[in-house]
Amino acid sequence: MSLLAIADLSVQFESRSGTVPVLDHIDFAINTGERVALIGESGCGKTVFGMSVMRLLPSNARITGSALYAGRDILRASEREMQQIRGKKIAMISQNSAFALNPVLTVGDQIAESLTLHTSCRGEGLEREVIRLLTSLGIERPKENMQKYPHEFSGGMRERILIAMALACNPDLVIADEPTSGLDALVKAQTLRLLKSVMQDRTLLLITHDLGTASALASHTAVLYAGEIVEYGPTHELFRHPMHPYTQGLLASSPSAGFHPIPGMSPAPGQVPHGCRFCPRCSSAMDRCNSTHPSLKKSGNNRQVRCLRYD
Amino acid sequence: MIDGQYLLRRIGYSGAAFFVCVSITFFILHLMPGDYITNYLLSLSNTLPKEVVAQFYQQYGLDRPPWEQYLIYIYNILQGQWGYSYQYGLPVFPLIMEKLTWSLVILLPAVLFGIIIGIVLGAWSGWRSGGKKDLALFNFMIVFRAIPEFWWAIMAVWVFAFSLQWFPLGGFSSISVLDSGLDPWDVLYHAILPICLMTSFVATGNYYVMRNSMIAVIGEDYITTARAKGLDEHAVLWNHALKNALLPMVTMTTFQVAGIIMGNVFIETVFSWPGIGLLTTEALTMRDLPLLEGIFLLDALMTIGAMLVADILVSYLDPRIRMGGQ
Repeated sequence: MSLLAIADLSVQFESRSGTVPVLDHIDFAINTGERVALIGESGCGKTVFGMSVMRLLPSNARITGSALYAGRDILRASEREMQQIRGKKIAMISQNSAFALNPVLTVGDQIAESLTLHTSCRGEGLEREVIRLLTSLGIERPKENMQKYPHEFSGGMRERILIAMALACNPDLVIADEPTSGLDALVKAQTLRLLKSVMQDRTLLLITHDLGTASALASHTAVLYAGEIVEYGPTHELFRHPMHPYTQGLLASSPSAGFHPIPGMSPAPGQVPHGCRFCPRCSSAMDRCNSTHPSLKKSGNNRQVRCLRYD
Repeated sequence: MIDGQYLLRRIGYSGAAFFVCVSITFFILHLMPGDYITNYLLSLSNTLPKEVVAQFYQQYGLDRPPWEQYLIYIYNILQGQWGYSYQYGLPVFPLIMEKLTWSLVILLPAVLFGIIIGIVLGAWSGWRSGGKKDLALFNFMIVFRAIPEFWWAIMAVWVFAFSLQWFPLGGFSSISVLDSGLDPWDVLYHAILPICLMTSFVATGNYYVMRNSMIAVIGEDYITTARAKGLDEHAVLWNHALKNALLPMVTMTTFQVAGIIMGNVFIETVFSWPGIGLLTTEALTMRDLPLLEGIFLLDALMTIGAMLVADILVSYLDPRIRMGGQ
C-alpha cells in the first residue's frame, strides 16, 4: 500500500483578480522506501505541491481532491490532527537554509523543539538526542555547536542542521524542497552525498528543478509542467529514455547535454493552452495537440506519460 | 554578550557625539536673531538706560567674542556649571529639574503604558493581518493618528472636563494647594486626562511599527519551518515570531523614553501643565539662551545615553549583533 496516495489534487489561489489554478488534478503515490523527485521549472507548482501535503498553504489557497496518508485523508484532517502529523510523521526540509532557521534561537534549541513536541525526550536525554542527530549529519563538536546561532554556520552546515531538524522525530516521510539551493558546487555535492546516505532507508519526496539532484537521490521521478504531471517513471529509465517532449527538452537543456534550451516560456498559471499545455513549445507537436488535452496514460513498465504521440 | 572593548569604543563615540552636539547647539542658538534685551526688556521700556544694557552684557559675558564665550561655556559645563537663566536669575539645572519632575508625572506613565499597549495591539493586529478585526483596528488607528494631537486634547477637555465634568479643566492642582499643600491624589486627578491622551498617542506610533514588524516576520521562512515542525499557532507566535518582531521596537522605544526629557508642548499648553515643554517654548521666545542650552544639553545627554542603552539591549536580544564587537 502507498504511504501517501494523492488523488485528483487541485490547488487554486484566490486573488482580487479571480482564482488562479496552480495544480490540476494531480494523481501521485509514494510507497514506503521510495525516494520520489518532483521536477519542473520555477512556477510549475512544485513547492505548492509540497506545502499542500503539509497543509501549510496561505489562507487564500483552495485545495480539492484527497491525500491519503496511512489510510487517512490529510486534506480533511483538523488543524490539531495536522499538528500531530507535521514534524512527527511528515517532516519538511525547507528551501533556502539562510532563512529557514530562526536567527535568534540557538540551533540546539531549534532541533530540540521538535523532540520536546513529539517525543518524551527531556533534560539530559534531550541533549543526548540533539548531539546524536548533529553527529549523524557530520557536524563536528556537536556539544559546542548546538549552543551557536544560525548565522555562525556556513550554508552547507545550516543545510545539515535543517536535515537534522527534519529527521529529529524519525518521520515516515520527508519532503525536501530544493535541499541544495544556494550552495556552491562542492558543498552541494557533499550535501547530496550526505542526504543520500541518511535517506537510504527512508521515504523522500524531493522537490527540485535540478536534474542532477533528482538523478542522484531519487528512485522515481515525476515531471511537473504548468500544474500537471506530464511524465512519471523510475529515475534511471526516465533519464535514459525520456518519453515526453518536455522531459526530452529538459534533459537536452542541461549543460552536460550541450545546453539546448526549450524555446518559449512556460505559461503563467491561469493562462494555459486548451489542448496540450506544452504544445506551443513542442517541436514534435501535431495538429490535434492544439485542441485535445492529453491524459496521463500508463506506458509500458511502470511508466506514465501525458502525450498524444503515445496514445 | 557584549565585550569590554566594544563597550569602551561605544562610550568614546558617545562622548564625541555629545561634544559635537553641544557645540552645534551653542552656535545655532547664538546665531538666532534677537537677544533677551531686545526681545523682552526693550518691549517693557524703550528707554532702558544704556548702562543697564551694558551691565547685562558684561555680567553674562555677552560682550566677549563668540569663540571666547564658547570656550568659557564648554569649560563651565565640564565643571558641572550650566549657567544662570536670564529670566529667573537662577541656576539653570535646578530650574529644569523642577519642571522636568512635573513633565515626568504625565510622560513617564504615558510612555510606559503607550509602549506596552502599542506593542501588544500591534503584535495582535500583525499576527491577524488581513482579517476583519485587524483592518478595523488598523483603520481606527489611521483616523486617530491623522487628526492632530492638540485637537484630540481640546476635544477631550471639552467632553470629559467641560461637559461631563469628570476631570478638572487644567492645571496640576486644586486651589486648596494654597492651604494644605500638594496632595498627590489631587495631582493624579489632574493628571489622568493628559496621561490617557499621551498614552494613546504613544501607543498608536508603536502600534504601526510593531504591526509592520510582525507582518514582515510572519512572511519569513523560519515561521514556515516552525509550523512544519507541528507547533501550534500559539507556540509559533510566542517562541518564534515575537522575539524577532520585537527587535526593531527596542531602539524605537528606548528613544521614546529618552524623549520624555523634552516634555510635550501640546499637552502642556492645553492642560496648563507646568512642564518642561512650556519652559522650552518660554525660554525660546525670551531668548533665554542659558536655559535653552541647559535643556538641549540634557536632551543630548539623554539621547546619546539612550543610543548606548539601545545598542547594548539589542546586542543581548539579537545574537547577530554580538559579532559586531570583534
